[in-house]
Amino acid sequence: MRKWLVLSVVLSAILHVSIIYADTSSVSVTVFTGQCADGVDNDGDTLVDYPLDPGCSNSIDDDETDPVVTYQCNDGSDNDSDGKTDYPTDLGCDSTTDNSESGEIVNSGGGNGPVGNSGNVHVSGTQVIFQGQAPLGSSVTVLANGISVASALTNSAGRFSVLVNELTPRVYIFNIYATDGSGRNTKPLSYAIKIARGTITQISGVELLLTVPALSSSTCSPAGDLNTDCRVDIVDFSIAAYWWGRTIDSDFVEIEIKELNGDGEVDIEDFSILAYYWTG
Amino acid sequence: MKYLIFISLFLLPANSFAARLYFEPTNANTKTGTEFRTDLFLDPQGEELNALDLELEYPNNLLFIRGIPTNLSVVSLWVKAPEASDGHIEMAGIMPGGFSGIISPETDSVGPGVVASFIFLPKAEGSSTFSITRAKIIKNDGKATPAEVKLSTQKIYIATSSLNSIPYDYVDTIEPAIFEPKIIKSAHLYGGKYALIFNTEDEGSGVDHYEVREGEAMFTRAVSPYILKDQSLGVKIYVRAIDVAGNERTVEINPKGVDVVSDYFSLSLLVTLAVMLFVLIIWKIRKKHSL
Repeated sequence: MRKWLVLSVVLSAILHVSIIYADTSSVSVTVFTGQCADGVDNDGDTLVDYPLDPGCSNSIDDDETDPVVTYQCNDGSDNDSDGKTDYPTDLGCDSTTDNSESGEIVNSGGGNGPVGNSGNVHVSGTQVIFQGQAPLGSSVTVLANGISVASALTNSAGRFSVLVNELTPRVYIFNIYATDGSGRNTKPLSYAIKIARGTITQISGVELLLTVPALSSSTCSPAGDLNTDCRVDIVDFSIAAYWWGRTIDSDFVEIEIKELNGDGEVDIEDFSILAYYWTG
Repeated sequence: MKYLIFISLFLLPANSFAARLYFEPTNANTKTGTEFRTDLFLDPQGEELNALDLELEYPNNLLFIRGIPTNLSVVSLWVKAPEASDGHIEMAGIMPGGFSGIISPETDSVGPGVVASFIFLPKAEGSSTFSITRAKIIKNDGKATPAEVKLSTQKIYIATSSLNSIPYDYVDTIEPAIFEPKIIKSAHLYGGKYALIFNTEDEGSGVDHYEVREGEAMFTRAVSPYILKDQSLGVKIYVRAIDVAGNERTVEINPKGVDVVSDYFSLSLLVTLAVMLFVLIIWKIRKKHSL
């Protein structure tokens, strides 16, 4: 009897755990922190990370190495054509950091002093990359906290890579779905991830599959579309928010019945319907 | 009998694990004048959830609330942003697409997420609890099914201290993110009058509130959707987002240079009516000529 009880509990627990984590078992989340946000003085110049270290153009720059600054008086060229090159040979040079071999002040154009080149490939902002498989010829859309932020097309093998740039670091619920050439949408997938400043977060292994029957983007949402524009977004949210705590009027009663839960008031249950049918 | 137990346990529904709302830390041992932070967590426990409506209660004879940071919150859009009044805190919000837990990059598994944080200043000696007095958590199933939820309380113990007050130290010098308010005109919003909708994010502490200024008028506290006082759309509008730490971001809108978001149905109805009127006029003219 006791043996059966223990066995039952163990099997039941295994079943529950597998169901709890089923949503994320197919994806892998990797967070990459570049040199310019890792809290380490990587180039030994006593300056750490963006914006203090001059080698960092932004917080996801992965090279803290300071730019190699070139001045006219240390560039190996006879800039003033007087037959003499650089400090101290060229008397027009006061030092190796003098930017004029002719003894004049040279305007560098940008007004920021000598021209430098760090040799880095610079990308701006905190980034999130979604990678995976979707129906051939489809367009993949990513929403962050309900707002459409990026989209990309699949390649000839149905693989996609969507880059989301310039996100304000915080916790996001990302929704991702694909629309194929016939206007059919895949079932949206949802991932809640904390995005930290100066990181590249890669979510790989995302599989976007058409459901049966397929969801069509050419028809309107079955519910939640309060302004009848065939979308459920921040505008519908705002209309519903207006009626929160208010007695709904006779015009909105019909909308509430048709698009929300029809209980004659706008409460959290109605917002749940909006959130479920959200298109962004 | 043993077979019955085995089968009944094995067939228990997976969602018998109710979602949990709990505070961290579970116990707060502090002194008067020493600010402390409490986080309210939501653990979906295998459920997919998309909306919550909560009311909390704290002992306002013992605690003064200094701020409610929401920058770590899993709530994407607040219907009612957390607001404290007379020992009660109400909040309601949604998570479009559903929330089943924050994915950990280390394990690729999911875990609980913060709903909101609370910075308290203890002002008197005593003990009490910080509790959840109302909790509606809704499943992401399109039918607004309420989820079962288990609630916890936080025990608070405050001793007397003669030392100077110690503020809770959180660094936030970053202003809220740039945002683009929209002007909206809907038959279902303020009786079809022009209104403004806005929302933004804040990394360091979360948006505390918004203020709106129309033309040369003063900034006034506002919530979205905000009815415009100037219905002629003749003056510039400024919207300011202020975070919990006091950093602010102001954006400007020139109503003459933006598209107004209108009800699709209203526009299509107008077009239909115009076409019908045109056909009617043509029909009448032809009828007149045929007589």
